[in-house]
Amino acid sequence: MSAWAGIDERDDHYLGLAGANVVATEALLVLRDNLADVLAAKAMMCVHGDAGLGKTLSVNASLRALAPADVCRVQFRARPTPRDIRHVLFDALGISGTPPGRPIEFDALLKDALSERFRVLVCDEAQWLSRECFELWRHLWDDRRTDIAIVFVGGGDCYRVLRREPMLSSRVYVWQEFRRLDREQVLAVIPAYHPVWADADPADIAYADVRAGHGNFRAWAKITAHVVTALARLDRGRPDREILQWVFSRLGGSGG
Amino acid sequence: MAEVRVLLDPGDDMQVSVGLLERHDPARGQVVVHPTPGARSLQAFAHDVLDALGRAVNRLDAEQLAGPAAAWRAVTAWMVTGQTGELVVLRADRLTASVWARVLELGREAGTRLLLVCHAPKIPAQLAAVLAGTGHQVLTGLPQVLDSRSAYPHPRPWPDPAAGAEGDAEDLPRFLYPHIRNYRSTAWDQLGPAGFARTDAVYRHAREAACRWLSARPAPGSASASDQSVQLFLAWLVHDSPSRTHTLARLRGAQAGFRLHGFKLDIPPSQRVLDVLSGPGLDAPLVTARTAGRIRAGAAHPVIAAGIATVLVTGVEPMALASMPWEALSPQNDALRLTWHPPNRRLIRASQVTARTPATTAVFYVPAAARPLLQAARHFSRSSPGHRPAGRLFAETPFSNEQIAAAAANCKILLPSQRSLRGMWQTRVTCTRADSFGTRFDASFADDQSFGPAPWP
Repeated sequence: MSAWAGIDERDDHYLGLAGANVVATEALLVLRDNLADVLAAKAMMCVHGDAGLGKTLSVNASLRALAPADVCRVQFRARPTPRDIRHVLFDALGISGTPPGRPIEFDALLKDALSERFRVLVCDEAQWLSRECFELWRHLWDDRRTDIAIVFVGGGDCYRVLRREPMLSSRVYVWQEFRRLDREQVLAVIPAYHPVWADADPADIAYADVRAGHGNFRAWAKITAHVVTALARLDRGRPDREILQWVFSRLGGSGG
Repeated sequence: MAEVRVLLDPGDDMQVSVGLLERHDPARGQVVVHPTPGARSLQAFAHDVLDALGRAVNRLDAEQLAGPAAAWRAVTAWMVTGQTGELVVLRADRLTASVWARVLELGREAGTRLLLVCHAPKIPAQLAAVLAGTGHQVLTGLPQVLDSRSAYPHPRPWPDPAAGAEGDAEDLPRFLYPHIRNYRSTAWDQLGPAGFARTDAVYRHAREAACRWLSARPAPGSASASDQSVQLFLAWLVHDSPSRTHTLARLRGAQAGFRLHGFKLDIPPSQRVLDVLSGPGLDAPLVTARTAGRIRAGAAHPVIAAGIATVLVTGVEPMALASMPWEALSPQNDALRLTWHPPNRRLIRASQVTARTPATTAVFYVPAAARPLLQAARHFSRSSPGHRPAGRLFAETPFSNEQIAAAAANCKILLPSQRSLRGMWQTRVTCTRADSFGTRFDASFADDQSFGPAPWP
């Protein structure tokens, strides 16, 4: 799938952080099980939670393992229209020719493509979608010919947006919320997340989480990137309080 | 007034939509419309119905069905002439009152039961107003819909598309002998036991069909009208013939049947039937249920669909049919009578230019599978504000070779390429009363008809 082929594992990580590992957090392990069930049922799933908690990375990593050749990933930065979704799917599915102008012809073409073989459609930033957009996803999924599972991924009020649509409430097979890592999880996960933390003092990791990490992977990616820079410049082997203070100074007043 | 029901689905339950979509089966008269998201206009919904009926929606502009008036006329023509027992409309609560009004009109006109599905706790007020006077029934669950179906007469399914009559029989031996006086015995001499057995089976079957036809109807004469009835019978006899040699054997058998009833049936020479002439049983493709299904799936415009079917039935290219009048099609849509004036090749005086050669008529049998397509075209044309009963059959659509070929390509059908009716074998058929051909001929013919081959040496 072209839309998937363009994303390698490094792209999954925020800032494309070199050396970062996909850590088997509890949320990721649950997600992988959930996705396996959703794919088997050819159902819909909603993965929601605040920004930076690793939803997109976890979905990408899991699907790379579960259905690497079947994934079609689409993402919208602003409020899309059904027309936008049709065009993005047209490109993501690699359909040749000129997109039709009439919605019914467009949908017929998309249904033809989506009935050729099983595909997993991943719609990121789903909180931006309007009711008409959800209608389009539902329309494609309800169609008897199409052979698809749909994974909605969204931050912010994605859960509320999808829950208020009865058409989705009755169709979403699994809802999974991503939450901040608690302190215990941070201490278990961060040393495995990047080599710079492998030998770090747990107290320093806890300190960094209180000041800037907040159990959020995206914040930890920023901290880690700056730590990598600092260690290289100061020619040190592992982060300490001095390094962390320098990092926090670069991250601004709140540290994050 | 066709029955109108409204199903309320307040939870927008997947089981309701998917459950109804699974019952979508146009071939059995159960059509479920799944409206295109974001498209709420009258014409958009008409296109949704065409799509649900199984018609192609990828050439709406090319077929001039983009506008609401033509699209709804096409929907109505297909629904009225089809066998749609029930039309289910999903997401009906998102449609406009004008669409609901048009759907109700469609249900009345086509005699189709309607089920409007509102994925809401109640019917929206502006839509409820449209239902006034319909005596509609409100249902609150899918089981109610499914339970009540059993009481509704189930429409007859379309013939199985796989049950087409495409010929798969092995070709018969080439046998050019022209004389019916001793046709069978000569076939035995020239073809040997196996070849004779296969050819004679076809011959005798056609002979018996001719005898049955002649026994059941007034005798044909030499008048042109009677010649046309003979043409129609012969066109029917060979329309599903699997090869030219089968067609020739059938025509020879028919000759024998006519002779047995005191008629002299002349057909074109064997070699020309096998190698030169055109028409039913020779090179006109057979329109089977499968072919008709492909036409329905590839063309949304009833007149274009009928045009493709007519080109296949006659075996001539579209331009040769473009001026065909409605009167060329029988009221039952089972026969086409095409009249044309063959060009006069002789040099003539300028003053004689307007004088035309005598008209020639070619009669074609329309297979049952093609008739509903012609009926839909008839309905579509009659619904036109400017319809003239004496007008052209294909007046409602541009009918050039290119346009019909493009529509046929969308149906994955290759059209025949005969440029005119000039080569049609059936126009060369004559039938005359002849009680006796002479004692020797009649005795020889009688012997040949009772000929039973001796064991092959």
